[in-house]
Amino acid sequence: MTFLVLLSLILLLRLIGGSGPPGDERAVHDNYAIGMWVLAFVLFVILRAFQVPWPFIGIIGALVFIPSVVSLVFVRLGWVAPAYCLGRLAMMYFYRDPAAGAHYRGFQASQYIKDPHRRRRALTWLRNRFQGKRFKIYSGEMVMFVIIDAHLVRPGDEAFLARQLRCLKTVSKPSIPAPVSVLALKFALLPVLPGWNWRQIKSIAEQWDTPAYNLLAKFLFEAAWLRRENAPPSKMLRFLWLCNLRYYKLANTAIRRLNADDKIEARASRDALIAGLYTGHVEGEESQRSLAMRLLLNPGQGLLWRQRAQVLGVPNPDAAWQNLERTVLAHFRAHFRAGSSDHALDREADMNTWEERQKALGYLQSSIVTLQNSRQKVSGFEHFSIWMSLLTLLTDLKRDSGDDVLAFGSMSGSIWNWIAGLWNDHREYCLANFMARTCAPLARSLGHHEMYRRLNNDILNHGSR
Amino acid sequence: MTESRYLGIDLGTSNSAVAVFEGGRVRPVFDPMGDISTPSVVRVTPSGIVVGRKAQRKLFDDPENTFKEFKRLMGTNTLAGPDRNGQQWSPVELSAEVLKALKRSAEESCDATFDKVVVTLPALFELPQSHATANAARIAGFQGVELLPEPVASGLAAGWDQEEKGAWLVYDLGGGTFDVSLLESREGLLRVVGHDGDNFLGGRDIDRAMTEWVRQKLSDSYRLELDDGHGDFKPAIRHIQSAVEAAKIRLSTADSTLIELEFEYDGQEVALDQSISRHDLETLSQDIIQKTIHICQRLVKSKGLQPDQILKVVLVGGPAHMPMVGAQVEQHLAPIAKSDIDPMALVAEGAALYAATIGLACHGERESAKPRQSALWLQHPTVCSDLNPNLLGRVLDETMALTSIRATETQSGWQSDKVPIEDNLFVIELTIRAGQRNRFMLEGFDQRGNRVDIGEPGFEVTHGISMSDPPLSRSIGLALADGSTRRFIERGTPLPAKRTFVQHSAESLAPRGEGRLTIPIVQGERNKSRFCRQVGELVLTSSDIKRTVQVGAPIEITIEVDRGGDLKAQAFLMDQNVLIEGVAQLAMGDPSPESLRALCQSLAVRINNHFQAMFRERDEKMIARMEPLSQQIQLAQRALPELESDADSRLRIHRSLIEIEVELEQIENEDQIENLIEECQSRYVEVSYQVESQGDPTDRRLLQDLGARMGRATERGRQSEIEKVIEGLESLQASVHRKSPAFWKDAFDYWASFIGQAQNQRRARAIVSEGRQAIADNNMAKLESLTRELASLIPRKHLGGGQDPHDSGVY
Amino acid sequence: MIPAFTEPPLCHFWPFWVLELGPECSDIQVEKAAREITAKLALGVPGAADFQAVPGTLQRDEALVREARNLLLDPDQRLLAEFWYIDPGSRVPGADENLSSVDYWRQLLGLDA
Repeated sequence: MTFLVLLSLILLLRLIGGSGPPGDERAVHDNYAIGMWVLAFVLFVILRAFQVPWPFIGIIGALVFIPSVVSLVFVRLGWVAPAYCLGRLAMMYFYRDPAAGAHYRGFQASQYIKDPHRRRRALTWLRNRFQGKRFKIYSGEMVMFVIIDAHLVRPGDEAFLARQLRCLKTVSKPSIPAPVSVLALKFALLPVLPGWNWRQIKSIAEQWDTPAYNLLAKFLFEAAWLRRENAPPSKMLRFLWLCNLRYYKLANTAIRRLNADDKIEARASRDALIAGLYTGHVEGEESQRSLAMRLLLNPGQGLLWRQRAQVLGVPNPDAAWQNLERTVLAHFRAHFRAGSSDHALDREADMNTWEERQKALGYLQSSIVTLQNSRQKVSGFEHFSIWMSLLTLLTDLKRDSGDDVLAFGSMSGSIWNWIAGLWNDHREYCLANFMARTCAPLARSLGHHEMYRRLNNDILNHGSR
Repeated sequence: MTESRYLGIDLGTSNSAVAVFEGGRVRPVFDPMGDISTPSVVRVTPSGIVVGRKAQRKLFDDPENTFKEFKRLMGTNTLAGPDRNGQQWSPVELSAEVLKALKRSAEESCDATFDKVVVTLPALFELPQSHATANAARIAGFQGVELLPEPVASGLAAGWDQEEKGAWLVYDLGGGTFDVSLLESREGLLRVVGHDGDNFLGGRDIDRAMTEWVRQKLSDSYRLELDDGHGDFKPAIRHIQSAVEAAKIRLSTADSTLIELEFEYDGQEVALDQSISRHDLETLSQDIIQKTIHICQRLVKSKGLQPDQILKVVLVGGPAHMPMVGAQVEQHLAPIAKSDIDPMALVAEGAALYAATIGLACHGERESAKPRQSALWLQHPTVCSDLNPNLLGRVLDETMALTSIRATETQSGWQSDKVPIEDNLFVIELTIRAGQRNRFMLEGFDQRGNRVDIGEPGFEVTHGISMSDPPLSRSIGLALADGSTRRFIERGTPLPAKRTFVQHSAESLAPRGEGRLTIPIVQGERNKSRFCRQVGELVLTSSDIKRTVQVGAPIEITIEVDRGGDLKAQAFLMDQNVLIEGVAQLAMGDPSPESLRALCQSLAVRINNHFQAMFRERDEKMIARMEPLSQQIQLAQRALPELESDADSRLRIHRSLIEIEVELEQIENEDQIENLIEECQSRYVEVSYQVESQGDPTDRRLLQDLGARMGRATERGRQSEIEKVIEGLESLQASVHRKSPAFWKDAFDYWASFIGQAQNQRRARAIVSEGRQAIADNNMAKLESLTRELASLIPRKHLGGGQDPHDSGVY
Repeated sequence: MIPAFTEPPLCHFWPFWVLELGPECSDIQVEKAAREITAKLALGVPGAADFQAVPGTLQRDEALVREARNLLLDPDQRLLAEFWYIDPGSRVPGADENLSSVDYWRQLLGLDA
């Protein structure tokens, strides 16, 4: 009888998780976690056999069966390792990818650590869990990897993390647990919200509006869409607003902002503009860029600053003014890049950056080839981290010079071999899928029809074939 | 009250000097012989070490045990000797002996001990040389050592009591080095605007030219051939060198003089008098002095100044006081500044003044009893240009009933108010007398206004010029994996300085095994790291890491340089939370004579080939650019015989060969860019034709993009960008070609040519024969699948890496 | 450490803020301020390590003070610092002060522990 119960339980779990075709990774591969469930069930049977009172069994059951709730206790305490382990067991809550859930809980716990050194150590510990992982990599873990990695590499740089998350646009979404997708949405929104750039909010919400019912993303998407249509708040928006009562203030401000004047508020004073630049809160709009430039670099200002240079004893006032202009451009390039459509590399500094990126691409390409040729077994996360570096470079090239297609063209062969190797030899279907989705449009733009066909037929449509 | 003294030492190539700042003024210290400067000569005698004039006298009688000009080899591993005891001496040890002697003189003169010092060094000394100098001072018994560039020191000494505002130059032509600094004084603050120079240009080059002239005369008039490389003539040549040096000094005051020559030639005594006029000397040193003037003008121009904006020039160093140097400087630069400081002590006095401005005080008194510990901890400037500096203090003994404090100037009688003490801290605004030394005494009071015993809380503040931090002489950065440099700390940055940048790993490093990732630290202004000198390195080994360091992994690198020539660096693996510290301070390599000869030869061949090509093309502009290089290489070739005997010459020739190579490479690069543009344009025409005939709309769009890109790239003339366009055009060409029926046939032939390297020979041969059949049958679909299979059997070659001689592992 | 301040994201340690001076100050005042702050840091005066800047209260050490002093004594760098100077009390404009602050939104989104 017990055996039958156990068997049906395992079958049920398999049914929930499903074991779909490769590419659709809605599969629960966490045998360890299944084992724990089975153990818990056996424990329950044993406790009943010894006629342990119900309330006591209830408490034990709560402890064992609701690990996602119990893990929250450790999250609050800032105990990363227990939160991580219990997160791994929270299969009902993170049923799409319990491993990502473990990292999610671990990350949450790390945020409760006050001491920055201890927090860093905890994040390093979490980051090392990816390395030691014997399992394959799935979308949820990719998201958590990017979040944890960015907190280690560039702590406090919200814009960097948001850029990294944008790179995950083509990740297959169904296997991202809802809490993970909400967390990613929040981090992606963080640098955009102070400026209420609706265009960006819409595109971010669209990216994280997963089948996991990320209601916050749905709400923001709806709001941004209404904004574009210039329509008043709809019933749907009101409904979603109710669903997001937890984010009452945010939702409320969004609705208020919907009716606000669309015109970019001109930064009236020079001081206010500079304060914005210091704190990084300058909206990335072209029109504002030219406005700001006029404010700082008009001919009258030029004359005044040349005179001041003379008073200070600067040997060459004209060169000093040119230097000032350069710093203004450097500030604005950094702050307005996102909204810039100007792809011409017209500055020496841009050109140097472009050259550095090309060099970096060269090194990455050689490392990809070395990776393929090495006989050493390399974990999926190492492949993923190299792919993220490559993707970041391609994204930067696209943004700065529109050169991503050309760069991709110079290494498309290596990338194709890499994707094929991941699919055939390593069986990293999810990662290969993500890579194929990113590369397919690039291959098409490049006129590599054969590669485009293969990416589509052999990888992206594999399941349906 | 304890007297504070500040010590400054000018450690020169030929002569050294020491000065002390005490009681508000600076004074030179005379050596036991009564001279203001001490020759930097060390002699090993049976009874011990002798330094200075006594040692110098034995330079020719006992050359094996007497060492001079070792400063020129600081930072190298070259050893002098062995001496009579069989001991070999490093330049650091020899310099330490000179410093010990100077320290002794100062201690005897002041009846005090000195444990901190400011030592001067040529402005263009590189880190290994600076580090070696600081080490020598530590060996000599100094615990606190700060280094200061010589021209800054002389500028400080010369500008100490001058009121004039504006820019001025310090022209320092020493025995072995030439330095020039551009300084600016404003509001009582002396600032180093920039400096330049040549580490291998000095009075000795004039001596060398004079020696050569004498040898020529001996050969022409008396048929006496003194071969430099011949061991037998060495004593004779040394004698000539000494005689011309003395004659050069005499010519500073006389119009002509005699060089008295007495030496042995082929076993016979030769005694001759060769007359030399000031005009001869001027002709011989013309090129050298012109070179120094050119360096000065280059410095003035690089800082955006016009020559007429220079107020005056301060001349420093023995050779700088030759009349013709003064005349040339006045003609081309600015009037010479008049100063009452002995030129031989100027640098040392500047060093002592600097020690005072940065508060590098020595308190040790030899015989008197140690002063009683003060109950207060005071913070005040020793020297400052501000007439109302602040005194900050903390009461160390918290049990004292101190509630207020008052400062009194002992000479003028000026008194501050009674300043209340809050939280054991107090601030008093002092008033000091301009241009004077001011001695203050402090009195403490309790709540009732009664005086409280606070020990000996006196201090001094002298009004005078203060100085900005001395600048870094050459930029410091990293050698990157592609052979370029990334500058971290720019030349001219005030020291100490610390900079942090994020670089990326160019290779992967696994946690197990023998792997290592090197991060070389280089010094120099060149963009290519092979032209810069490696001064240290950070090494990341497999044992340092827990996880694989991937290509592209961010590494935060920090480089820190202090005023004592110490370089510290650390690398932080951001994603692994691993910190690697420490840096090996490398010695300057001594290039072998063979390698220098080979380099010289290859450069001469390259220059010659270019000349021939340019003459063929009648490219007069390029010929004019190449001309100076040809002259320089001829000079270097003439100096090659000196290589065997003299490490200093090797360094000098190596430097000049590098300069020639840099210039030559620049000329070659410009030429290469023109060729690349040509190639790019012809490739574009070729691809346009193919796209028109065989391409689809995507190809046409790509071609259009590449066309626009080509326009921009050729306009800017950036090599890498043009190369990328060519790469893009090639890729487009291949893509269009792939759509043509001939493609699979060509591809098949291509892969079939590698059949010898196939992993499965039998299968590969079968595919080739099947492929031939498919071509004969015109079965392209089959040929495609066969070609793919064949290609999968041929092992891929690895892509080429960088071209960095330092084996850098970062980009 | 003071980063090269032509790099936009790294401009928090503006030299005038570090030395708590305005753009009209003289070289002597720069010297004096640097000397005093260094002395205060050496004596361990409470609050000596803090300075006000647009992004809030930041920390300084002896190296930062020395770098700030050197920058302001160099006319070229001084001109740059004057050009970009704003009062450290300035704030980004907006009807609601909080709305412009990333920290505010971080809190609102529940990202702050």
